[in-house]
Amino acid sequence: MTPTETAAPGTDRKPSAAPRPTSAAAPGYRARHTLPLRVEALRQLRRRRTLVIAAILTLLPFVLVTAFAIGGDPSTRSTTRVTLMATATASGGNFAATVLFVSAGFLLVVPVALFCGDTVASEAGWSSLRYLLAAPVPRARLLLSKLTVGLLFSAAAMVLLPLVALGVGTAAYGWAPLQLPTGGALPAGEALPRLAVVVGYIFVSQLVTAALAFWLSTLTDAPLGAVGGAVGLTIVGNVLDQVTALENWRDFLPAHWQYSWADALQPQMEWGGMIQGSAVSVAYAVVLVAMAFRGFARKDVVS
Amino acid sequence: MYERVAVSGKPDAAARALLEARSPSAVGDRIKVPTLIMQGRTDSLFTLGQADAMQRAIRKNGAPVDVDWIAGGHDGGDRETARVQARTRAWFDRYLKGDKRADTGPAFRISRTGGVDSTDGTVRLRGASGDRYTGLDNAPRRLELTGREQRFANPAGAGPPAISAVPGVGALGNLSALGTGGLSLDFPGQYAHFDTAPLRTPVHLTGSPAVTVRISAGSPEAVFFAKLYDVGPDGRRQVLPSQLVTPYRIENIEPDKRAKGAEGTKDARAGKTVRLRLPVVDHDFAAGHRLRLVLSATDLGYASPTEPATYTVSLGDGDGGTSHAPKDVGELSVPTAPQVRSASAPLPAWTWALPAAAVVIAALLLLTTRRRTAAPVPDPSLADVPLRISDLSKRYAKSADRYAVRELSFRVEKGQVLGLLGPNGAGKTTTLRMLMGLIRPDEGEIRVFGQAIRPGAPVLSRVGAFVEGAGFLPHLSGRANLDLYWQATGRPAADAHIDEALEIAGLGDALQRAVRTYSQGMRQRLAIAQAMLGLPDLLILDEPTNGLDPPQIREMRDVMTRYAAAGRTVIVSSHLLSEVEQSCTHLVVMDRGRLVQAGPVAEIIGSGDALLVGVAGSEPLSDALVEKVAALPGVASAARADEGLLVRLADPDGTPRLLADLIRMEIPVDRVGPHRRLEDAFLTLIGGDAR
Repeated sequence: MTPTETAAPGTDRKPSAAPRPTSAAAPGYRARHTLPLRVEALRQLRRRRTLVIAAILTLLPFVLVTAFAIGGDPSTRSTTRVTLMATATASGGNFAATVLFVSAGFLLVVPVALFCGDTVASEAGWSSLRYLLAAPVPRARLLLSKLTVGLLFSAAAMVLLPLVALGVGTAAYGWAPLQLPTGGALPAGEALPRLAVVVGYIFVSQLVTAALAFWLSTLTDAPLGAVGGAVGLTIVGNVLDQVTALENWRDFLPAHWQYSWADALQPQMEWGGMIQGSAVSVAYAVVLVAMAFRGFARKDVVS
Repeated sequence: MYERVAVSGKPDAAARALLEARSPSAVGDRIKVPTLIMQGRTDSLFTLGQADAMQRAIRKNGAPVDVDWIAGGHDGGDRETARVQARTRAWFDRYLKGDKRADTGPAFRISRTGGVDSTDGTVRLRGASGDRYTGLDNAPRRLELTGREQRFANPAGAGPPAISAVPGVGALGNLSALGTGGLSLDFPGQYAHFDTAPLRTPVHLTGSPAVTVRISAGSPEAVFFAKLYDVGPDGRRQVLPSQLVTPYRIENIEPDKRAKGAEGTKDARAGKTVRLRLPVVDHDFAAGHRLRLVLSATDLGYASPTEPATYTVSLGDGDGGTSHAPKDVGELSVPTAPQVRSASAPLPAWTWALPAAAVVIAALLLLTTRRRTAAPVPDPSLADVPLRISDLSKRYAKSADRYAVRELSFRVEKGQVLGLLGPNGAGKTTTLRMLMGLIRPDEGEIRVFGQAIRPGAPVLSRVGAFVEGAGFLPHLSGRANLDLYWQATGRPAADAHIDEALEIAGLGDALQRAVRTYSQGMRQRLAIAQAMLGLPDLLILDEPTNGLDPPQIREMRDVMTRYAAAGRTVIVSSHLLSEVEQSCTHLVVMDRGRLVQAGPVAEIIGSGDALLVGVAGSEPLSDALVEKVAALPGVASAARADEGLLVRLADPDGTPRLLADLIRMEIPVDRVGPHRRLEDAFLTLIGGDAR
């Protein structure tokens, strides 16, 4: 797009000097250097919503430990369903897995929707978007930086939660093999990579939410609209997945695969569900992101 | 026959003869056609051992025999109906229809459990296959069992019974293959058990394990049930693979000849050494787990003798029982089938097709965006012209004829302070937005220093803009906002001249506060400072004096004048014209999207064709009278003004004639003079009916 990045070296940069010899761009301007990730991260980092999310995710494991302490050992309760809840207090690894289990359905969706859905829309709401675009940060570059930072923040949220849970759980319940809900146990050394796979898969499976939120973010000036829309559509997907009459069509719902990471906590690692879930998620995400880039490139920014 | 046998608990000769005649074994030696044997893994009625017997009998005749261990069976579980039918059809296609291409499948296939399907909670199956049937004794691993001699009893009435497979409630056992353990129970005193040491390496059992034990009983006959548990590392959690047991009736046990109560020494010949074959299962024993042999006197799935009995069992050696001394160590033979390997569950084709299709769609979406690709060539002749707008038009979205800007053309030269004037809705801001590349013009083009403006055009780096209010991140301080904004431009920090900008903002200590605490005027000043970062060659200020107090307004004027004096260019838009009058050198007047007039301020103001006619008296002139004046020859337009009448002449020298006309119309003319106030001139220019 910019064949004219000819910032003449050695140009006089004194403020009092007469206007510079004409060139396409101001000296030192390179489209590829605009809105670096570090700058975008700094812009987003100290926002209240970032801090609130971090606080919630850090506190949740403590809350759960307290809940287990008050409510007693969950394994003594008879359950008909095989869940991670029953083994939550067996070890630090079990606790981390349980925390992921209770939060993957909704709690981790919110930060993803927030970080990716609010990023462009809030700039539009603050009117700072037009100044960035006039800086000029090329539109594709702006989206790329924002999407990358949004995803990095989302990933950080997803890593933060199990890490804290692992620490808290180990302190509370000890460092022991991971008791699998379907029977058997994994040695702690083997359990950690499995948990990493779980976190990685949750991240990949949330890409569709991220992309949806991001696309909505480029459409609206209301950050809440983008975040709420993404969360709402995720819920709709969950509801549709309950409609068993859809049969095999449900395979194409991202929500259908949202718990496939549990396959990593079975005695034998089972990749099939996670691969299919990733395929669905990535497929939707790629199209949605492309729609975001396409729409934003052509959009009239009037905010 | 069944009733007779069921009541007595033993088959009589007639029953045996009938069963043998009806059994496949009666015809096995005559089956010479290719045979597919499918047998359920969870089936305590027709066991895998029977499938094995069939296979051996038919195989002897030379016909190909394939064996398929399906997951379910009479005890429950997944019958795999669809797969079974498909394979059967393929088999018939191959051997009855003669379709050579029909795939008859592997010689030996086992449906193994691959865990729980996390999408719907069902058990997931995975096929493992080998190119030959391995039988029930293939490649046995020999594991050492330990356990002292034990006694166990059959309670009178055979109750309560131990639980393994419960016919009809097979679902209980479904999860055993997963290691959750179905329901399986043994009652103390009713069973004997022998354990292996924890496994160092996992063992995958495929076939029928065997062990030799020596059993003695108070009676010549013993009935018991043999089973092999998978015991977890904690020693408590135990799983009965496939929930299967093997029932045994041992006859002709040598009785203990010694008198009752004479413990201590034993009759060495008492009892009987038997080789027990345990149920045929396919099960993976993980490392760290133990194998536990249990002999139980009762089982819920079977009718067993109601007479009370006591059995004594010890591990025997595998050599056929030459030694009669009780031993604490025995050998468990665990057949394996390493050549039967699990194929990973095939993924549906869409797993790869869907992302690939998505990438194609995404590529199409992105590539078709750039329809207007050909970037306009820079115009070198305009390289020194800060701004040239030609034939610019922009319609409101979804509107065919409501133009925000229409056929606008003007040009700004270096060093000018250009005032962009027009009432609200004249299209000033729309023009500036197009100039910043925020919205696309429908027609026409904008060139800044010869470069066509498009979204994100690099030449915008030479333009500083403040349009329609400030835009800051409210949670950051003013200083951080400016710093991050400059960093976002990617340009060297030294080029920012942030100190000069901050001086103009004049915010002092407030710079360190979060922007959300700022007043509107403070934001305004900070935004102007942001526009001036890097001292752009073209500075655009939209209504810069909104929210400023009079001293700041005057200061702003000086700033603009000084800025342009250094050879740069400033464009100021405003609808409040009085201060623009003082700071601008040139003027572009817009109304309803169109250019009304452009030129130096002096020229526009002092063009002389605008006259202010002062009218005596407090009564304003009537509309009819104003219209009459406008209709006079030589008058272009007339509008009511505060002090009288604003008249624009078509003929610059027509003043005397106008005066004569006015007096003739008996208008009380007070004074007549050229109109110098820009605001009034502006009203004249736009015809007076802008509002």
